[in-house]
Amino acid sequence: MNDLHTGKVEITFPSHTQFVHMITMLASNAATVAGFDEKQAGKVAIATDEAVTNVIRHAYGGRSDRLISFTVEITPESLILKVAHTGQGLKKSDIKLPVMKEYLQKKKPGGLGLFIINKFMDEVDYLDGEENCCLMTKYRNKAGNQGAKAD
Amino acid sequence: MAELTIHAVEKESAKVLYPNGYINAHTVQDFEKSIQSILEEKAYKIVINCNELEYINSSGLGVLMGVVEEITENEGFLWLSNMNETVFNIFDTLGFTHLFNVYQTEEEALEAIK
Repeated sequence: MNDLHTGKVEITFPSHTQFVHMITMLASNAATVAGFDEKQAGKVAIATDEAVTNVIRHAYGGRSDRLISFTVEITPESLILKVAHTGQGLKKSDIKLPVMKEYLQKKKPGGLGLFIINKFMDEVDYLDGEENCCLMTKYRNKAGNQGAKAD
Repeated sequence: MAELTIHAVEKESAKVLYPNGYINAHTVQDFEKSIQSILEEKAYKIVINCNELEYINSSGLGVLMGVVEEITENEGFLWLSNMNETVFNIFDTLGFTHLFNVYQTEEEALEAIK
């Protein structure tokens, strides 16, 4: 593998679901460039899909005429993804992740997105202010993140 | 490639669905319509062959959760086969493999019906 090049890519796109897959593929490709294997790149893709979808559905209430900013940064230690918006913010303290055993017994759809993000990424944070964002990090040298090599 | 196409074929008394593309917030309505149209035919034995399914997000899983009760009440089943690693990971991580039988291949799933 070539030496790792660190860097940042930022893209702004409308809050319409047709753009979600495009951003998901960008995240997956960035994970591959950062040295993660296919399994981890798939997890990054799904977490990104869920984070962007949450912004469209909840932060913007389904409106498709707003903007979302997506930033992906490759650092020597990690891959950092940021999904930023100007809609309704989400406070980490307000998040209640479902207990999957109970969830599966009740068989009620919905509410799985945040759980998936937490499971598939190493660190997840929600920042609010002038701009709100979901910040997701995957570490290159963490146990279980096979395929990510520190060059 | 289209975002999502789904076709259904009847095999071994079951409906086998072939989704091609990805299932997320943008395509989930097409996925839901396909499942619902099968249930409207009162066909409750369903196998989803995921060979050409790139990924599924929580919206798609919500659709499966929403119909599983109706299917089991009608003595049917909803099985899945040919998952890629990404699709399997999401099922496995969420514990959905306890709700839905997962087979390596469509042939294995059809064999299990007999």
